[in-house]
Amino acid sequence: MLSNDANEKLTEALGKAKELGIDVEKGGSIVLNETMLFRRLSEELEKKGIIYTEIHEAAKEYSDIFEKHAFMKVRGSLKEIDSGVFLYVPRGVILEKPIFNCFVLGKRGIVQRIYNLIIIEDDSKAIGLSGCFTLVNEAIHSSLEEIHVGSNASFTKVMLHNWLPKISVSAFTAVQLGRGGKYQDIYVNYSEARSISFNTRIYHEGDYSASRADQIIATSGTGDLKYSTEVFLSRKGTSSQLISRLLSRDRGKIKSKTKIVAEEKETKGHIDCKGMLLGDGGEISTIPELSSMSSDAELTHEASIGKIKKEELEYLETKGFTEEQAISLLVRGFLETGTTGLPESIKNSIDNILERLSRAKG
Amino acid sequence: MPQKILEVSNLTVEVGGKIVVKNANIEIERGEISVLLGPNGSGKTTMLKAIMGLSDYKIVEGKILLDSVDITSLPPWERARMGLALSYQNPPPLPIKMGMLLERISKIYGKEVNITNAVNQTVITHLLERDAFSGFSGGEIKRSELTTILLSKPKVALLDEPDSGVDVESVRKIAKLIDQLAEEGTGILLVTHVGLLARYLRRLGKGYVMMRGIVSPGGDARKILKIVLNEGYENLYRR
Ligand SMILES: Nc1ncnc2c1ncn2[C@@H]1O[C@H](COP(=O)(O)OP(=O)(O)O)[C@@H](O)[C@H]1O
Ligand SMILES: [Mg+2]
Repeated sequence: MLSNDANEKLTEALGKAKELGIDVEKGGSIVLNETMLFRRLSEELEKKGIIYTEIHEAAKEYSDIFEKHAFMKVRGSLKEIDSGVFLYVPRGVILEKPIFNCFVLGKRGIVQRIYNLIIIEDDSKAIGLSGCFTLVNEAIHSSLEEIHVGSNASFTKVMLHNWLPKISVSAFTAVQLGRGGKYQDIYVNYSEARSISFNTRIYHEGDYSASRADQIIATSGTGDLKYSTEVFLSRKGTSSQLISRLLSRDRGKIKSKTKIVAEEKETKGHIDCKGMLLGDGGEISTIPELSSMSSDAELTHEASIGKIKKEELEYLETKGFTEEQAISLLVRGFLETGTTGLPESIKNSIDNILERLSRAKG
Repeated sequence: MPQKILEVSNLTVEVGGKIVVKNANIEIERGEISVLLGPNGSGKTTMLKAIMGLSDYKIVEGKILLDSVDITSLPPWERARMGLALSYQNPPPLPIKMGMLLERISKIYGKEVNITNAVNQTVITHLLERDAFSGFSGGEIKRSELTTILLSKPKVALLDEPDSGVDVESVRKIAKLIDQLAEEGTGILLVTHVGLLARYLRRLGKGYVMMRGIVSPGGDARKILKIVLNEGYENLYRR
């Protein structure tokens, strides 16, 4: 039984999630503070053998699967974890609709410690959308996540961060890809969090596996945001694309490190990192790094940090846009990374967020 | 009775510390295409940009009336919303998808003009998912720029060399679009170099010639075109 307070918070969280386009009631869960308060998976999916449950429960009930995959690339133990999501998609199951996960901070001073384990078996496909937000200020969210993508399997992870100014976040995600496996990561931060430290490691452990990670990071206020993404192309024919769009208004600081290491033949990697400073006192650092141990690896990067060009602004003004409208249109264009293949509903939620981000005033 | 829709009187424009347009007088009528001819560097683009209100093009003297309203000191976006449009000779490459740009423009001007129709007319459907004007061919740039004009359904369109760098087939299409725009009532000031475009136009009205910042009094467009095309600008100047 939930206490009245928890019930109220849950209702509030569900409402806010829906607003963000995260419809957990269609299949997903909500972790509020230290507990999973809500979980729903359709009968149809359960029949297909999909397991979607709380992480501690998973460790007990599906210990064989859990032991085989948990804490392989991520250090830690369940003892230090409050809650998290366990998703297991068995071999040959295609999930077209996204599974929604919400991580919500609802109590001042809380430290929410999450561990998610996602296993997509061979020839399967799934999409997960996680929304992280707060109902209160002054709290900490710390998350560990491990994603296993089997042979010819595919996983798309969309993560939307929407924190308040006094929230600190630290996150670590490790992804392992089997032969021909595909991983797509879309991350959008549109919060004023005090600090975010987010590390992602993608290990290409099967030949011809491919990954792409898009990060769209906007900050206003005085946040200090640090991201690091490293990709290891350790097998023949593997490839990766890392795309970042960093936008700072006001005095926000964003640092994004991206690294691709090519260890094998026929590997391909590209880093595309663009920053835009709209206010005074902000700071953007991009640190793209390429490292190759193979003579026929193809690694490239492009990086730039700029501001809005007067010529572009004036052009738009002559087409009837006010200065403010012209700026937001240019910011909107800047934030676009050109992802394809997302379900319409997710694409719309992301578009809405980018739209909001482009309109926000400094 | 012809209706004046744009009156530029005694316009003097300074750019980069230099007077580039001197006491220009131009009148545009509803539904009519006036052409502005002149050698490179004579000040045609400068005059158009000043009429549109771009901040680097300083109006030192003179007055601009759009449909009898004085717009001389209004910002460009207000002029645009009042019905003035400029089609750039060289629009800047933008970090915005062409499709999104057109959508936003049509939002400003209401829904009467259908984007799909406009885009079909200018044959730029294949460009909608690309960044506006970046890596476009000459013809694609001009047709895309013209699309922005079609969507705004202006009272007056200033068209700066919509035919330069465009192949013969496209010139024919562009001429058709310009004629159509005029037919719907837009008054047009067309800057062009090659006579080809003008030869296809049916609604030609006055012709102006600009030399070293000075605009000639308006004459018959067809006659002026004929002289310029046959004998060049210098001869015309000596007459
Ligand atoms: N932004 C500018 N800054 C300085 N000089 C300019 C600028 N724009 C135009 N000019 C100058 O004004 C003159 C006329 O140019 P322009 O109006 O482009 O001529 P046209 O369009 O007739 O070829 C040229 O000498 C050109 O160099
Ligand atoms: Mg010119």
